[in-house]
Amino acid sequence: MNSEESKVESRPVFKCSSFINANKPANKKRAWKSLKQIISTERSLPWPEDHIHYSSINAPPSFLPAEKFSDLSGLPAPYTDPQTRLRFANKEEYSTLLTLPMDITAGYLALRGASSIVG
Amino acid sequence: MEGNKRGRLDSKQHHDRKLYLSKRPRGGSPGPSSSKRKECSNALVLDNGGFTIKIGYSKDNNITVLPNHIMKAKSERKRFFIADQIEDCRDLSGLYYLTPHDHGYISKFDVQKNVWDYTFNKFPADDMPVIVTQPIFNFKHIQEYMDEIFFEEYDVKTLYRTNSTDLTYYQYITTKKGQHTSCIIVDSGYSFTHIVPYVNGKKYTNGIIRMDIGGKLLTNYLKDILSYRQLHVMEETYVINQLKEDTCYMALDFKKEMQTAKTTNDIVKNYVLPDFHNIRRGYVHEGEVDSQLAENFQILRINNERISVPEVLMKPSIIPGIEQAGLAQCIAKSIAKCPTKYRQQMADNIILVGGNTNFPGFKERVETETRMFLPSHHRMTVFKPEEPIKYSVLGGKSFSKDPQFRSMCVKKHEYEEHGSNYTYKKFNEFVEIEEEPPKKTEEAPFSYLDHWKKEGVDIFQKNVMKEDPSPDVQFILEGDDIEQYDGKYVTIEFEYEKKQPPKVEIPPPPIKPPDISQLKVIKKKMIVPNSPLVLNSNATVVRASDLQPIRAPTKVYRPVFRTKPENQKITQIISINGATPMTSGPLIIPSTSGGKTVSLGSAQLLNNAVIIPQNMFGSKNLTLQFRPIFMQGNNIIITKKQ
Repeated sequence: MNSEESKVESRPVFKCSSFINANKPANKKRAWKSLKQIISTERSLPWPEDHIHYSSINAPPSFLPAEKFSDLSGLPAPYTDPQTRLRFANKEEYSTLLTLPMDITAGYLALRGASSIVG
Repeated sequence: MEGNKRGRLDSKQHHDRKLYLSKRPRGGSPGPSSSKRKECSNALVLDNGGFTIKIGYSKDNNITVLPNHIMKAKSERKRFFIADQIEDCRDLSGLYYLTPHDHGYISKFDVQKNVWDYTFNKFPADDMPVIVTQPIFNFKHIQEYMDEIFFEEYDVKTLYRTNSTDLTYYQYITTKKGQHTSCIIVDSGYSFTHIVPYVNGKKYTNGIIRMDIGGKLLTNYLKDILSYRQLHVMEETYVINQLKEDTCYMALDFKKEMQTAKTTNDIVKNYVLPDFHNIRRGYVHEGEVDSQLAENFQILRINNERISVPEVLMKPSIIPGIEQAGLAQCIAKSIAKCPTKYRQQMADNIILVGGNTNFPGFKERVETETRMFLPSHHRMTVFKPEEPIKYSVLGGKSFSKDPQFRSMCVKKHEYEEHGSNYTYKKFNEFVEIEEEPPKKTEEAPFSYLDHWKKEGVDIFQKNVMKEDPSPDVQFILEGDDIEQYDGKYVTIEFEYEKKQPPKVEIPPPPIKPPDISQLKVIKKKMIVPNSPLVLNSNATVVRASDLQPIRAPTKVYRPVFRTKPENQKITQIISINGATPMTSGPLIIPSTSGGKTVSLGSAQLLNNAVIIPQNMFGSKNLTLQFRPIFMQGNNIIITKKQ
């Protein structure tokens, strides 16, 4: 009983119970914003200085240096071939590495994200 | 009759009392009179993950896991497979995923709507309350659409939208520990890994950390390296994901295991790939591969990939371009961000949930590595539930029986009345705990120099100046207060009054100056001449809080401080944060921290404003000391060093 009464009270008098919103189209087609757009809009909003949101909870960068792994086998690689810039773990790998054509070495470098000349 | 009565009684108590009652077995058989209550207490819990939807009713024990995708197979080009319809598909090679989620946030609602339609057909919500999850710090834009879809299209009567970690937390504290336990939840899912500290029963926003490493990234990485080393599998996300789940494990000692991987070892496994005629799901082939098997099926030889792929979670730098710290470091960092008095308890309650925690050895690895980053006096326990993927739904189920649950929901008519801003406010209550002020003296490393200075030992035969510990007093002067002028200086007179008179009144000793922190300025006078005056000694100290920054301190702009009466002119900056700027040339502000003098950039002096370089603004208690020219009859805000 109580809950029903409170419901009736909270409903304003001017609202007709049979009211149907005419603005609501049945099948509306919408262009959804992409995540990039959402993030950039969020960034551009005037947040207070110490407000915490999506961009501010990123994990901090690591203090440890990145480990090096062989491009061919994935084993820990202490060596780098100065010619191709490929990393390798032992001499067998090096001998196979010497036989590789240019496009394959470039592919390996691209996989590691080291294909740019600068880096 | 009696059974029914008792059932009703129980329901009443259930609403009045606290949590543990909700788990009590119900007395009496559910008769017709208790059917209404039964309807109320049932709820639909939907954990809307990036890879799978976890769904279940609070009444029964089942939790169903459905893929949260629409999939297209190469064999049946015209058909879309929604969620678990994929089980009908025979050839799963080259499966193409249409995912509603982009980096863990729903961005394609048209796809998501289809999956939800399918899901709610299987699991009708009817009039029950619906609990749905969203990622932490979900964007407002997305939340609005979710409201719209749930209230307007699905016509849900009652909705509760929350983070899955909240439900995990609830389940943990109700089943394992008492209320208000502080803990840290590591939710490592498909799109990202969140580390969420809970302090005193609430999320502690300052400590939340997101690592952009999840199961998707690991699968893609495995695909990459396998494609280069052995077989082109870039199209076979589905198969490689299964391969990852079947073979990968978290190495306890990565370096050692890598050394064993170099030689012949136990780590190597032969994985037979499915051909979708004879084998539907790939499997690990134990023992030697004979020629017949090798001829008929494609076999991948998995060696160090088994450990190097999950290792990405611990050392994200394995993948080029990701510069985030590893999971253990992030956990330690997150604990360190929280108030000191809760840290011990948090280290004692580390909870691992999410799909990635299913890697064998994950818990042990997190334990050992986090141990290294935590202070040695902290006791540490890691808890991993039996089913880490479904744990949050379990939490949602028990939460729906909580007496407080009803009040936290938003009803449909409330949404219609107040709109989505109301729901946004209601579902995003982040409460932060006030950090206690750091204790300076006790934690600082002991130094004989400081000690002697405090004692007054004059080791360098100089008079060591004792620092004045009295704080600044700030007050506002009005033009009418100006009465006297002795020709050279602005003189400021004020009287003190006890702020809170102590019960036993002790008159201050006559020689010592009064303790200023206990006093309040009640009367102030300032003497300023009618003509403009250069204040050339006793320079005024103005704190940063007294000056109004006219631009928000962002990366682009440098903060500008303007004096409050605009016609108060600044002629010379005497010091900024206690350091004196060079007088000639541009105003270079040196920093004297660490004994070295480093230039921090130049401050620009305008007529009535000072522009401070960005890096000087980092500290909040910026003290700016400058020489002003006073104009006639204005309100001047001055902070006077006593």
